[in-house]
Amino acid sequence: MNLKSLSFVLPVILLTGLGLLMLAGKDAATVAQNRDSDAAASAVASPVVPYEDSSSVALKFEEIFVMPAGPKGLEYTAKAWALAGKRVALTGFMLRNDNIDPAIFFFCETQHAYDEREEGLADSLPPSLVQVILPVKKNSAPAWRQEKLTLYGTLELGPRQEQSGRVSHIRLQCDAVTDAATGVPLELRKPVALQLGRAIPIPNDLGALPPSTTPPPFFNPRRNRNSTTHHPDKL
Amino acid sequence: MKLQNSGKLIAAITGLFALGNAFAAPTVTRLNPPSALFTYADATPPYISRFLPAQRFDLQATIQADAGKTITSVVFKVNGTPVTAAGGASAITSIGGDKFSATIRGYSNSTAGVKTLVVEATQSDSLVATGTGNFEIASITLNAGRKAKNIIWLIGDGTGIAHRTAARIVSKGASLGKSNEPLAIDTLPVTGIVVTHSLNSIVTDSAPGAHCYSTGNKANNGQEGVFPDDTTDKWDNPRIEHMGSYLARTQGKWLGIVSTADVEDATPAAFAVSTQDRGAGTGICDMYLDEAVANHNLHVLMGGGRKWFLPLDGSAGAGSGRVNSSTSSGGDYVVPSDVQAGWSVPAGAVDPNRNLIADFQTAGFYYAPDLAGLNAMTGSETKLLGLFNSGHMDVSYDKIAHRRNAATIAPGSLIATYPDQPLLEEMTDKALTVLSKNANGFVMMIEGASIDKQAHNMDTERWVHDAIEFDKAVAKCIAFQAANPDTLIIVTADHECAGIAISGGSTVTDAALQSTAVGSLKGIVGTYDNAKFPAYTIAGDGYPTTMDVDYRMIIGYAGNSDRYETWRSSPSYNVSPQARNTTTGYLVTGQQPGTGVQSAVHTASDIPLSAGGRGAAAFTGVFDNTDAFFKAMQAAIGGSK
Repeated sequence: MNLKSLSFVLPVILLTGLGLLMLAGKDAATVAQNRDSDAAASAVASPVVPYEDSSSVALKFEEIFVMPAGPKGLEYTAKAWALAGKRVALTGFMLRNDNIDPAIFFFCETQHAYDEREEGLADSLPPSLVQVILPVKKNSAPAWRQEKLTLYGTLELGPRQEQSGRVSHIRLQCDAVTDAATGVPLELRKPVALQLGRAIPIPNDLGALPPSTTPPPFFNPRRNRNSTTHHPDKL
Repeated sequence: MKLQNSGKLIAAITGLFALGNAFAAPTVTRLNPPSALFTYADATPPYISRFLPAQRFDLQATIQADAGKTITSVVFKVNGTPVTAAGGASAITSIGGDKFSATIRGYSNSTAGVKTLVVEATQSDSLVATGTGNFEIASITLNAGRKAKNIIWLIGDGTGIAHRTAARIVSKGASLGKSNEPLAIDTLPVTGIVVTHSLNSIVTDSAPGAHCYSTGNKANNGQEGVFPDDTTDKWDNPRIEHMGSYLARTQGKWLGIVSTADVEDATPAAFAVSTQDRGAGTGICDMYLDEAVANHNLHVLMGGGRKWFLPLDGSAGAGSGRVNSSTSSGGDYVVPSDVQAGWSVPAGAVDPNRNLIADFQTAGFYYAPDLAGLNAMTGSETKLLGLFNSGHMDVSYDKIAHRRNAATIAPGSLIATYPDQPLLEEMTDKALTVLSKNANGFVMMIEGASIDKQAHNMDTERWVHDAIEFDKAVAKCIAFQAANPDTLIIVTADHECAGIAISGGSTVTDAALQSTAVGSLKGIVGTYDNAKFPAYTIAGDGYPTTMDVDYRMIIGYAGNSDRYETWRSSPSYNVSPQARNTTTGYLVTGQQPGTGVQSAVHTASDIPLSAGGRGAAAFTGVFDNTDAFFKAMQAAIGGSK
């Protein structure tokens, strides 16, 4: 391949790749909608059917624990306890945090942020925080969305030690995620590689800098001092 | 010998030395206490590590051995004299990768001056590695005057100079070029400027930012009560004796820790706990009882964080069990035997089913789960545990709104779950009542935690409100000091948060602000003359009637992330700045490269310190945060005129 043809092929490859990446970043539902709109104008787009699950019982966050809390701790309500192991529908918001887990995200009543790097496990998260477990989709993970969602799945109650160090008390084995306003099914799981806003690891979070390859005294923050008693070259 | 040949000879000798050095491992790769002499071969001041006479600390070295070799003996020498460890208080531990950690626990030195510390480590093939560092024993002037019987540290977490100014403008007002009234903080007679760098960064986090006041030393970010080491164990780091322990064993003082944060959080824990992981969880709270109550005379512990104190298995039975425990076996602590021997502390245990509230009660603590519980105290209590929330306590903005109207519960807050949380000044009042019972005095840390947390969140109204709450706690302490003159009050921060600046005032009424189109919101910011004097009214409870006044104060953030700005209060609590007001506010792009949950960050800006009472005169000028510790200890140990 000569230089001229290379200069043509390379941008094409790059643009095609970029287009594919952008496409892959969209929700399956959105992509489907785009495809519909791209179809011939005469064709009528098939309507998106809201998710229906008559077997699920709607459970509100404020119905999970007896409120206010007693002097020692929280207690499940009779309703919540009766629904343990059964199908429920929960409406709320994804917790915004930067940890990526291939299957798990947190769900709460209001829009809430959790900066785990800043807060650790000392936090302001509501006790009714639900740990949602989705089926694993290869190379993907739940991506944060701002809108209100309704989740369907099986409720689990009781303390369980999680790998993160957190102890979960309410879990939902989730099999359907919908837009709370429209009932339209949503696909939360996106390729991890495209979740750049969340996926950048923070190295040495305890504060250690990466080791310098430049030995002292050349990597010496004290070297610029103007002192007659200072001997930065003495090792 | 000709000159050119001598040059070759020197080169050859140098080469031989270099070759020899290549095989002359082992090497000492870390020496604690940290020093510029060890790290940068710089023997000159400022000395990185300083201690009080007789203050205990650990000596530690990491030695890289040759492959397959072991370190068989390690000797620490201070000014040439070998240090002898107490029985069982030393160890040489293999930490993987042919590395060894050697420790002597609980060393102390009572003679003031700079000391040279040398470690000599002998490998199994008799090769010896050495390392040289130094530390300083501070000089305390004895009989310098009356001693500070009580010492109160008030830490407005993240509170820089602008946080104070904002609280003053809102709670006291300004007109015709002058503040109408000073804050309580402003009435303290002595002011200083504090430099806040941590051991490993110009920008500190809250752990070393508070640890410095409790130990007089620097720590790495994320670490409290310890120096960094090379092990993964979060409980075995070289320790430094906390102020509470030192004053308990030398003067019989009591310790109090009061915070609006989860008590497991960095600032409260930095006054009693020793760990390299500020997020260590349950173990931190266990240490409060196992170590601080026993060795630091901890008599008051108040804040949020009840989740750490409850047993993991409390949920058995339908709807009847306690289920809010975040006790995790991974968060429990177990310390090695040399720490136990050197510091007279228990081993700890992995005990996720421990009922820590019950254990505190068994140790004689009165337990208050809410304000009603505080108010039910008889006045005879000498030990007080208050746990008012599962995590951080709710902020005063939402607590006050709920007190004024019980139906007002901010979405995202935990007011509905914990509706009766005390204000910081109410907690301070009770803490002073308990601690003042000790004839030997006390040392107490009081933290206004969410000034920082809501500054991170760029929720202007909430951090300003908490700064006002903090000032009311200061006022309580000033009143106490007036009645107890041998009390030293130090009001400062651990660092600045968010790069706060009061950049002006709104040029429109609140009604007009609400009807201003998103695209025009930037245009309402009045600067210079147009900022005028924002006027807030104060209700009978002492807090602003509303934060959404006409011609309101405008806050800018220099350490910011992206946010959507409406210039009005947020009805919801703890919503991400990128998710808050996305349709009603305009985008202000930030400078932080944070990922995911972007928020404003700590800055390296110096912070103000105000002091009053016995020994306060020393807190002037610009000084390091560790200096504040030694100034306070001079007042407590040597006295002050």
